[in-house]
Amino acid sequence: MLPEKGSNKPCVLICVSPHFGWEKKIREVQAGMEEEGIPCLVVQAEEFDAVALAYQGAIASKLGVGLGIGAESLCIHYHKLPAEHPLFALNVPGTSAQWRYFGYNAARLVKGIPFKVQPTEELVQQQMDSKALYDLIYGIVQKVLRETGPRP
Amino acid sequence: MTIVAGVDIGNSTTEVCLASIDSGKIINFLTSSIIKTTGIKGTVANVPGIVIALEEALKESGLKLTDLDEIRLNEATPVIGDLAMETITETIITESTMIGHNPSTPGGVGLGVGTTVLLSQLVSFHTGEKVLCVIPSGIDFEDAAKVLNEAMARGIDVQGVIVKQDDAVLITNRLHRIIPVVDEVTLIDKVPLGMLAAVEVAEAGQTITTLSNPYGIATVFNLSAEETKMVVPIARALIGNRSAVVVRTPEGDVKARTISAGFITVFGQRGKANIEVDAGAAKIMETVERVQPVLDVQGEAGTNVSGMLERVRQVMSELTAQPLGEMKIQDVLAVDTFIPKKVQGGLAGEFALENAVALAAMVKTSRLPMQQIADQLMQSLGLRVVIAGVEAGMAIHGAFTTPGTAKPLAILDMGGGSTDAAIITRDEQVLSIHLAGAGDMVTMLINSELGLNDFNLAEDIKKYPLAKVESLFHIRLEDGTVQFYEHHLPPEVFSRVVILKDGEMVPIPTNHPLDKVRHVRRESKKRVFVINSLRSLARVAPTGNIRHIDFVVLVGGSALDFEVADMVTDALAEYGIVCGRGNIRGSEGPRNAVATGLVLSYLGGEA
Repeated sequence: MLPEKGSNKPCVLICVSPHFGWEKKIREVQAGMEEEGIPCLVVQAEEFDAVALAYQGAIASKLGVGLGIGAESLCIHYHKLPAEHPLFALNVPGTSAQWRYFGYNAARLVKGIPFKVQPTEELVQQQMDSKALYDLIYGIVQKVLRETGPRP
Repeated sequence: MTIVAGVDIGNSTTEVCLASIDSGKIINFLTSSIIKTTGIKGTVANVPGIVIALEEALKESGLKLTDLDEIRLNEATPVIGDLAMETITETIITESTMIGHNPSTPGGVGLGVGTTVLLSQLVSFHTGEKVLCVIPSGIDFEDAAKVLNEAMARGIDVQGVIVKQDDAVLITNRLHRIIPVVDEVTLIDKVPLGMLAAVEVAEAGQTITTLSNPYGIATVFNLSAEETKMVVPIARALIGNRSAVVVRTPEGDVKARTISAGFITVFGQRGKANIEVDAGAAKIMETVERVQPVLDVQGEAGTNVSGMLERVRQVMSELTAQPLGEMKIQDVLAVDTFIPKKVQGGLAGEFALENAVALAAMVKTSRLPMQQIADQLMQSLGLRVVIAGVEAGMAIHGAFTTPGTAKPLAILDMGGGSTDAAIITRDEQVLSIHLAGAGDMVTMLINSELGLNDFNLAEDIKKYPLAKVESLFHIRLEDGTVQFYEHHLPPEVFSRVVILKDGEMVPIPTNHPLDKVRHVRRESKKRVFVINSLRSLARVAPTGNIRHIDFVVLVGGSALDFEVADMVTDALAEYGIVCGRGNIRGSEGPRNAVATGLVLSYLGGEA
């Protein structure tokens, strides 16, 4: 399953089980690593679990770092860690920004520099939006209640 | 047999020393305890803490509260300190802008000069024009590279690129020609378009050379001598960066101006003196020493210094319920420092180091309401409570139980808010003084110089040693030794400088290397503790000469610090003084001096 050729070059191994839209994930993850200047190699595997995929990659990688991409999850693993304890795991399909950050951090694990934390701006924005929405609806409900409630 | 408890209420801790006394002579020290002080020192809020501390000490020796015969309280020194920081320089960049941050991964290398233009507008440009391309967010790196390559193919001289997203390397890798690319420019919308600008990226591991040099900027923008003077702050703020952008706007105006921080007036027994705060710490301290002993210090009305000095007075006045007018500031300690401040006009959150003066001030009043505490204790416990004596005298008697000491003996008690010194001469005379500046000031200096904006984190940096997390399994300590862990460390601390706090690791969220953090920590301690030890000992020394003191014992909180005691010992060794951390009763270390002294004073009172 793992390639015999090419794997003896030091690089991060990206193990992926092909699914709908996986090429996009691969592109962002690779871009993240390229920006950090760490080479990577993509391998297809039969496994579906991202943690197991990442661990396979980590064991086979000369740099000891593997990145697993499943349909519903994403994972970074390190060869010195126990198989069931990945370094980073994402249990949702994720967004393109999140995929990029997994690329950054897999590379940073190799480089030995602090991990990049995704700015919470987007998330906060969403939360603020939902808060604003909540306030708006709350206000409307209150208004309706006021107007209809007290009538005898 | 009589059981006596000495209780020392300090700013941060309440300490108890329990002893049994037989026939007015023999003392048998039973136990001691230490807990956090409840409420502000010298107020009735201290009582619950005192009771807990007493119970703790009694429990350990198998006694009950009813077994106690007498509680002896200290006359807590009514001093309070406060701190302020005055920035005395400020870099403002109006109109003209610069980007001088250090993205971890800029792309390309070299210097590019051209007119700023949006990526989408490149199509309308003609052959031969020199441009710097600005790429806002939402544009994919492949598309960006494609447009840039096409433009270059059409003969447009793209000199460099400014990108919002972290895409510099990705774009550079896809370009046919190597040009400098600066990324992660958060406020890219504010980059003025159609203006002459310069982009510089240095090789990995090197720093920019043109834009950090005033003449370099002058060459690039063809500046006059007058204009070159104006760009010095820009150049200065860019020193040490791997990448930078400077945009020139027609009305470009940058200045590093000196803010007038106002003056302080020091009233001393030997006259009064005015001194400008921005003259720097050395000048201020010179003035203070010249007129000391200081009777009062006042700040120029309407300035920050004045506000800070007023605040100290006010807090003390409320605490002691004495009129504001009677609150006199009796000492100030000034320390030169610098604050990393956001540059106004910077576009990626750049910081410039601004000079500042840190000031600690101290107020002393006649008396804290200790009697109220004593009354309330007496009421709730039904025991005899005595206010036994001034803190300094008690501390010195307690410190004298340190093995290997002899009179004349001086103690140095460096706490959080003030540095206290006392001396006992051969003929039993005790003299004590209180100076401004201690642990809290060190914390403030660490906080500002590292740009932390987190007082608790600065406090931890002050108190605990550092380490660098080198892999997921090992850390390197300050002295270079390596510690290995069987389980992997959390990713938050990976490759970071951490504080080793009681077995846990607290990451420091900055890019400062370990050496820098360590240096700031040690220098802050030296500038406050070592200076204040010399200053305070010179004041209590009978002849004003430190050399005439033979023994100095360090007590109190800061003596427990892992390096302060060594620094002071080292500094005083020059004067031929035996100085070291106290070891009260040969067993307690630098703690419990006052509480022990209080018990000992019972003997003196009985005899």
